[in-house]
Amino acid sequence: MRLPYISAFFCLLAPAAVAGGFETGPQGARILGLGGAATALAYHPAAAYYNPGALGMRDSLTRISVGGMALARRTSFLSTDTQRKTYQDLTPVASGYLFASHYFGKGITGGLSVTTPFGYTTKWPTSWEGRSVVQESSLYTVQVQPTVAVAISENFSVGAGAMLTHGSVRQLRALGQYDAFDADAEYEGSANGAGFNVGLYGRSSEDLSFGISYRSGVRLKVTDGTATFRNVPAADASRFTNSQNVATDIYLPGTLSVGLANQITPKLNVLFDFTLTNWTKTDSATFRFANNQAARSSQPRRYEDAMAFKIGGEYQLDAKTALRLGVLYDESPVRDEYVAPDLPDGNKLAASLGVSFAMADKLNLDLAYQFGALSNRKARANQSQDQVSNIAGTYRTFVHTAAVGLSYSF
Amino acid sequence: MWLLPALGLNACVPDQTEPTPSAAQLNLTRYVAVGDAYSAGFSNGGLTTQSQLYSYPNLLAVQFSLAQPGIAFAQPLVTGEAGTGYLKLKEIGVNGLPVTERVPAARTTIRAKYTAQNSCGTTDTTYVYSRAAGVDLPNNLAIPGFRLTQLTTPGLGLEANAAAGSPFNSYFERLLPANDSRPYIQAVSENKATFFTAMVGLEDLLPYALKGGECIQRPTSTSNNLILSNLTVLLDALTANNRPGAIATLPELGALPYFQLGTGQRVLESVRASSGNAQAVLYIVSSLTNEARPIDNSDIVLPAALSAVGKEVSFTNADGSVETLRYGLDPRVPLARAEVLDATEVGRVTPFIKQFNATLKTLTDPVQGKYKIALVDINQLFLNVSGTGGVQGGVNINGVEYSGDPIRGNFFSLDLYSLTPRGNGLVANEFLRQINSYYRANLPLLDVNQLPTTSLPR
Repeated sequence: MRLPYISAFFCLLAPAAVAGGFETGPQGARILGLGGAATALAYHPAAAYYNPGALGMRDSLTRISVGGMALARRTSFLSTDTQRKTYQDLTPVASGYLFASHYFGKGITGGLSVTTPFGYTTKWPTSWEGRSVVQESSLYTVQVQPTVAVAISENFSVGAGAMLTHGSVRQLRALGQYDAFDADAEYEGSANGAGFNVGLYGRSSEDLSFGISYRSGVRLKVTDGTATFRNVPAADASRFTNSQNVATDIYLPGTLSVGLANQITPKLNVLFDFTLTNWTKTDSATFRFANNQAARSSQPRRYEDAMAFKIGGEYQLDAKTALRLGVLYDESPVRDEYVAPDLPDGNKLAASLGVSFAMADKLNLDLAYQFGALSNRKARANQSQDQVSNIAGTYRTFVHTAAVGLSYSF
Repeated sequence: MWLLPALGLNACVPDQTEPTPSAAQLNLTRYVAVGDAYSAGFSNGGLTTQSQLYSYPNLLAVQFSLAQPGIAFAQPLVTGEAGTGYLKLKEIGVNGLPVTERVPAARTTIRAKYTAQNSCGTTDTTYVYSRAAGVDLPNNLAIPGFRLTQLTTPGLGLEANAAAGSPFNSYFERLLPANDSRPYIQAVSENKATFFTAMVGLEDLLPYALKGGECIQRPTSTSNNLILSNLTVLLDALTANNRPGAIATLPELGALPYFQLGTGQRVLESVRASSGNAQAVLYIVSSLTNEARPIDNSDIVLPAALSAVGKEVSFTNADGSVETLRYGLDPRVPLARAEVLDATEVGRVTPFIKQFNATLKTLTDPVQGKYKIALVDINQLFLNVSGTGGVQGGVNINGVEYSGDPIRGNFFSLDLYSLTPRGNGLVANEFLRQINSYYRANLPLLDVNQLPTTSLPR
């Protein structure tokens, strides 16, 4: 099969599409190939992230897995009022991952995960109708997580990790005033936060295992964000003064995952995950000023908790090649009333393909690609609520994720 | 990232189909707009080519042509860069009001000028402008100063009437050939429209209110009855042969910044704050008794007087002694009659606008109304934008706030009652919404934020 047809094939698979809030999706090339079903996956260093408990299975090998990922969300918008269609600019987000695990003996395993679990980049064309609602919006996070796991028995282990998170956020909107097309407001900020994750893993038989994992929410409190206003006419400059003290909160939600893995044949492993994400604490994206400014920015979000189901299968074709297939259904936390152009989210149905080649004795090359389609979302705007900006229309979004990585075990 | 192009990213773009604009059964080939200053594109206290191009009828015609390409919409464009003259923002005053200066019309634009004594004994000047070039009777028949009471008056566009002090409208004159005494209603009937919009009646009342009720004929029950009966005469002509169209309600005075910025309570509070005297009383001259009386919240101080309130003035007493008083804060120096539209004068305008709007609703009722045309509630749009009676106004259009704020509200132009291009855009969108829903058409709305915030020539 020629490569261009593969993504077209996925398009047919997913006639309606969606993905969860501002999560980036599965972390790591192997996990991406499995559609993100990894809570009950042992003997892989990504367990540090997905379930620290699964890290604790006395693994004689030291494992390192490293790679790069690219995520591209593509959205089209059809305006209710002008009936014009606008495509979001294509802005692939590059990210990477690093997982490592090492068994120290006495049932204790250490692990490290470096991931980018949350993030998005939205960029609308400059002439877009909703440019005064949002022109560009982005979030980027990096999470470093040292992890320890303990094997309590042959078939049962627990683990915990500390999540050290750095996040940065940016929002750009046109002021839509003064006949100055380029008068705009930009808010930026970054902050650090910490959380934890815990997990347990068990095997009830040779071929059936389960895992439960909890990742806490992390609040990033930005206190020294900046607000920059450009091209405001001199007469009104005092209404829009640049600030270095913009405050905002970014709440990265906690998740509870339950997973099962079934080694159906020696060559075929099937994994199933159910995840509940605590989005309700994500109330709004608000940039606050020390003094009340004309151009404060607030986007209500009022997310609701969301579920995700993931199924992945891994088939060992031969000694050197493993194939993976995954399907994911991810409920959107965005309610109908709050569908907005900064992150026009919808329920996501995604399918992924992955493959691993043994390049050398201990070295694997992992490749994976996922195509996700989000359900169409219809946004309404209430013009009488003059403090709340939105634009009425329909969003349709496709999400492409690709990963390439190397795994080394010795 | 190299992987993405390899996988043929463009093989599946999240496409959506744009609906096809449709006018349903409407024939929009000759759209005619009837109205006054609001429909003529009057903005910043004057008419310029630029402001006419942003008149809501012209904006509507552009949207109509999306459904029926090739529609021509002729407007009686004024000549000269400054048009009939207009207001330009000089600075923002201390009270937040625009301080403007008038850019005069070019000499070539003014053909003649006539003066006449008014009821106050001062003179009013009437300018006659150069004739509109091109076709006889343009699509945009709206003329600033149009009065329903003059709908059937012959010779309204006859220059001789300007000299004689008879009913005359110079904006109508310039649409007609010389020595043409056709009444306005005839110009409407002869226009062979296939579709019409109308927004009429406000300028029967607005000049009286803008002048504080002085030096101008006051509305009476006779003139009001004539307005209402001429409304049906006009609608009969417009809807002849079941011609489709839309008519707008009239904005109440309270929705216009000109009358909103100086409500009695608001002025009193600001003068008490600025003079540091919480007991200060503001005096106006009653239009009933012609004597000074304390201001009431139903009285409206006009914008031109707002900056004078509380200023020091010298007053000579009967015994010849001179005192320094604060203007308006002493019964001896009350605000002049022309500076205030007092409660009695408001009562001659506001209740009738409400009555007019109620009449329009009855006449156009979809079930029992006499006229089967769309009703566009422009009054509600104005109220939503600027608020009234202590209700905070403001609408958010795709992230841009529109309000009654005279400088930054985007809706009202510098004369504080006519509209900016964006204001015209919102009016056009309201028309489009109602036309779409009444005639089951699918005409796209305008992206109003793309329009300029002011219609100054450039």
